Amino acid sequence: MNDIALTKELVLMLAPLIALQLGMAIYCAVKIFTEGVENLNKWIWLGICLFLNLLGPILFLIIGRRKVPS
Amino acid sequence: MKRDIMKEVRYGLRNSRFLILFVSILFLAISAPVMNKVFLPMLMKNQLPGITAETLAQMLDMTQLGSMRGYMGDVFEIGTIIIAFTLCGLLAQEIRDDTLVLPLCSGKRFPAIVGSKLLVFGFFLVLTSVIATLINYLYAGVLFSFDVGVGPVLRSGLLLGFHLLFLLSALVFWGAVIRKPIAAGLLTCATVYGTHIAGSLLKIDSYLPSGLFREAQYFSVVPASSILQTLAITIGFVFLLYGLTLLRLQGLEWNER
Amino acid sequence: MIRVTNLHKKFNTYHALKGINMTVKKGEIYGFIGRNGAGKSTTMNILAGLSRPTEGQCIVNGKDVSKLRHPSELAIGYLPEDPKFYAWMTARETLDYLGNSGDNPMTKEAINDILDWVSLNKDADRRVGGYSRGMRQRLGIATALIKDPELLILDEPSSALDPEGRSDVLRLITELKQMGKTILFSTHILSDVERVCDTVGIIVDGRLTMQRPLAKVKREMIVPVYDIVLEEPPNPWLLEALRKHPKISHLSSKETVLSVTTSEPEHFSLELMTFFASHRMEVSSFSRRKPDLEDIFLKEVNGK
Repeated sequence: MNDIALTKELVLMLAPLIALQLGMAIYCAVKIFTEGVENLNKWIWLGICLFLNLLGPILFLIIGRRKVPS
Repeated sequence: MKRDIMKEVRYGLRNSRFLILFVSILFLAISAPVMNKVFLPMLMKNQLPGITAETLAQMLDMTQLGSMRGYMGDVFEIGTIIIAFTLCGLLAQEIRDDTLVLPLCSGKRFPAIVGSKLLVFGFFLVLTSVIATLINYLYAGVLFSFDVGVGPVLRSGLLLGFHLLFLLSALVFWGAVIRKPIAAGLLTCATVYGTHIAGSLLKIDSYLPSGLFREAQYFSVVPASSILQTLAITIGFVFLLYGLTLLRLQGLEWNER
Repeated sequence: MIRVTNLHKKFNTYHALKGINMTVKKGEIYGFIGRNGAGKSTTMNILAGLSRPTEGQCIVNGKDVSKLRHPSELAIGYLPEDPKFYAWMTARETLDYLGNSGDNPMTKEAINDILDWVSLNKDADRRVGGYSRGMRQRLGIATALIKDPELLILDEPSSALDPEGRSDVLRLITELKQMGKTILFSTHILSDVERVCDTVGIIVDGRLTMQRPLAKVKREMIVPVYDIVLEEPPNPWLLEALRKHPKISHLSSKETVLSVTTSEPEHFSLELMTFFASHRMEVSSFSRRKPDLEDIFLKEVNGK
């Protein structure tokens, strides 16, 4: 009951956070498919970026991003 | 020096170091008020059914100030780790990979090489911390109510920024000493947390860089009288670590195997 | 240009250089030969001012390397064995970064010229991280030339490359010689030395065992060797007689196989055959072989 009442408000409040999260995930996804990856598989990195909050994209940018654009 | 600065800016941009740092701190700035407003009360209600609004308010500081203090704490705890490991290769990786050999042979000097690292990333961290603190202030204000003036907020952001500059100089120093990025990151975290613990246990915060962070967390209208002294000591520490780094680099031999 | 006297280098307990003495004269190409781990890179590192000698004196370009405050004071061009660049910079940015330190800033035109010269102009705006080994080596030579130095120290410039990359690098070295530069370069590929060097120095186990002009080496050490296989083992008195032969400078024998070198190659084979004929020795094979630098190198390495 409580949860439903909060939902509308909640989404509005969370909007900036979601936007940031989504922005990073999209940015990383673009990088994954345009530049390629290192250390792990493309799809695994995509999963990490999508499902690990913030930490996923950071890990990808530090460890997984292809340092040498081919 | 101009080229050294350009090099560091390129490094920050092309290896997404700026992006990571900015987004991480921004994330902390946004998540702290949301946590305070939405998730923590929800969690408490689930854990302790039948809790009244008053007890909840007693247990959680559900105000703009409370969220801002939460954010500061997050930057200190989580931000330190993120910054330390994002930038741990700043000098250590260069020494490890021998990328300093050619610059040295072509006449680059250590003061300029290390100095531009501190300058570029130090400036960026101070700027980021001011911007993120401001965003945190606005967002927390919207979610709760505005009960602090913007002046103390800007000052706190600046103080936090200088605390991060201290972190950065420790990172460069440890990088030069042990020449291993991950270990340099760990030691930097230990240094930052260590000064904080020592400062609060011995009550000498105002003589240590951790005093900046403590003062930043207060958001007080009138700053503590000792704050300029703490700031001066912190900048002294930064220069000391810079000098020690140069001394260490001067004594190293290059390109060995 | 370079004078090294009794150079020693110790790493903790490991004694890498045990008293090197060498001289590189102005305008010459000095080939520094040795196995991996013999001490070539250690020596060159010290000569470039990047590490300090444990003992001994090195004068490079008129300066004592142990009294340097900064490696760039030597005003030489140095190419490390595996030059490391910032992978995230382009070649043009790398040259711009390295070329603009100190007194003589490098202009855009100068950078273009140098990129042209090492044939990297086409790839100048690509990031160095994507370069092949040969391209990095050429960029390395370009960076060594930034200050237009008189003396170049190149550590294994051609060794890690494919045949095409190698001949590119050797061509660049020859062109540099024509410009009047002095070059010290190390390698373990002996044919490279034969192609471009004036002087060779052989380093074995931290000691310079030989240092001579290549022409002299060729004249004195690359003399023909006659390999003779007899039907029966020769009598001891016969070997003695051969040893006393005025034209034979060196003789070694193992059962029926003899190896003979001479100091006077003229009509030597004829006299040798006459000698065997007059002693009624049956010869089953008679051949002449010309040793190359490799044989000399192996002799130096194994002889000690």
